[in-house]
Amino acid sequence: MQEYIDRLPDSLRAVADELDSEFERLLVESSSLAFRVAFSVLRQREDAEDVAQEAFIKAHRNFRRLRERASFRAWLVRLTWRLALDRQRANRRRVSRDAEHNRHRPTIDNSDPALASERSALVWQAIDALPETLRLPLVLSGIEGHDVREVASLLGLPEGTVKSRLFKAREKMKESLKWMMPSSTGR
Amino acid sequence: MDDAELDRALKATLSVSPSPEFVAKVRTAVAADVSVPSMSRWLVPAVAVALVGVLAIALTNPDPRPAPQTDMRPGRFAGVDIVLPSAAASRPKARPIDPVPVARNPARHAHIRHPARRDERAFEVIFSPSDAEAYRRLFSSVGSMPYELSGEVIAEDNAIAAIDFAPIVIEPQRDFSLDKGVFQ
Repeated sequence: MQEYIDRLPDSLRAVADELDSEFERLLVESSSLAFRVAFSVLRQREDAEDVAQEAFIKAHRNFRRLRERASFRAWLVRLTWRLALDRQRANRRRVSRDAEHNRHRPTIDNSDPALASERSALVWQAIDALPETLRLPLVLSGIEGHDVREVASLLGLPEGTVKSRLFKAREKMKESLKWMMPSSTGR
Repeated sequence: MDDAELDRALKATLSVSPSPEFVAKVRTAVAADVSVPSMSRWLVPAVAVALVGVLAIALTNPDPRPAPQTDMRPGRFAGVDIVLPSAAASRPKARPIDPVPVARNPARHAHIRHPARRDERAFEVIFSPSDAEAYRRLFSSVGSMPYELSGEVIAEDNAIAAIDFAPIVIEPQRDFSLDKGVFQ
């Protein structure tokens, strides 16, 4: 018995080390995914990194209680998406308050290189026009080339539901971009 | 716009990458979060919220009572007037609140007694004037008698000199059969 008690701290330490190494591996694998999900909502690199970092901290706090490690990415995506939406609402409230004090300043920061081109700005406008149920599947399908099955796994939805949502989202995007980019329709 | 063009536009738009030091920043933040005890994450804000709440209540609802007196003489403490028995005896008693309206004719409502004074009423027995003197003598003699009322004492103190009995007449029994009509 004493032998097991003496060995207990070592075994616990081994489990903790194993969990830390597993989290480290998932952090490296999923950092771009979390950042892109946050960026698709916030459009600002600093805010997106802050939100993705917050999501990883929350994920690490609850990592030991996560039974299915395979669903970590799906869990992280949903957590990041919710945190990004919360940050976006807070930013909008702050921007509206600032706009009351200083109306001549632009309320949207377009200094990020990703938004520099006019084409990207138009695509973002079309994405923003989508309802939330269509936006996240479209963003996830555009990030890292996820297919329908992977998007369904990330969102915890049936593949048929994701397929129909992606179809509707793409149709709306095409309709929006047809008016936004008339030059591309004539080619 | 066809599907291929839309895919290219989406890929170009969404292919943003975090800064190279992003992973390192996350590692540092996670390590800093681990060093903080888990209880302090909610205990410190909870204590702060509780203190703010107590202060807000104290500031918005000041105590309307006057400040407690510093006079520590016997019978006077923290604004409460404690009356000692000697002082209470010399002080006139406060009249109890009368549930009956004050504006009334005292002569007309003399029979109405206050409920609190109901217990103070003496027990009253009404005798006929002819028996009053006899009862008065009886009670006065009983009051002066010793408490142990033995048979001898009662016999000695019996002041009745003579007892007059009515004459006893013994008659033959009547025949009740003659009274049938009366009970039927």
